[in-house]
Amino acid sequence: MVSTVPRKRIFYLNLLQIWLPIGAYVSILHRASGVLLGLSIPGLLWVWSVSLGSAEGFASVQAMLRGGPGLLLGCVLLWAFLHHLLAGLRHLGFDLGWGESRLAARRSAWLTLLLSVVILLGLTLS
Amino acid sequence: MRHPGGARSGLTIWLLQRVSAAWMVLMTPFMAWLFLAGPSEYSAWVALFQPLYAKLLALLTVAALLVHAWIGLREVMMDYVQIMALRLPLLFAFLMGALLCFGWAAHILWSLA
Repeated sequence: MVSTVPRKRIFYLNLLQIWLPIGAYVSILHRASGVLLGLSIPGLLWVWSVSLGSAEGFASVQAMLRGGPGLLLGCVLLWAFLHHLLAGLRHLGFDLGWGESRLAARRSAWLTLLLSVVILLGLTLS
Repeated sequence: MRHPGGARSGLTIWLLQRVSAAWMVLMTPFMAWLFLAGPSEYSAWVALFQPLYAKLLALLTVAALLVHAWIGLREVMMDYVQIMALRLPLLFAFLMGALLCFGWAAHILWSLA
């Protein structure tokens, strides 16, 4: 079959110059957070095994999460988890046919971005 | 090019991604409790994972996490790793990594003192 699609198409996808709808940013962050979380599984298993291995290990994990780079890394992963969870719930809602109108989808996209940060701040500051 | 997986494997994977997600959503309140109000003593932390049902729930959650992560990484690689000679070994490596992590989690749970 002869393709009717022209060989050379105009290609203009400079992400810094084109304007994407808010849902696109939620989607990109859903992917980025998912990759980050997926690749961090071995590290999280390691922390879990240290915390269960001995009383000293448990104390060292507690100390690690109390401040410094450990707390920062924990906050990044917690944000990634919260964003991924909320964006995922939004998608499960779409699967069920909820909030598919453009306005509702934009609202839930903003809500996802805001809530993940609000919950993160609420958890780290308390 | 035809995929060697058969016409239905995409749907199975789509469903597995959602089932594993739903299971982790169900477990999230419990995990939140663990972090916010869970044991602050080592002995209580270990005791939490001692009963068989706790081990099985934890292992099932790890399994859901690994299935979900592998499918997600596969999806991202299908978009960004276009060279098959690179994508297939990567998929295989991640699969092996996931199996190792599953074995490791089982080892952690069943070797509690």
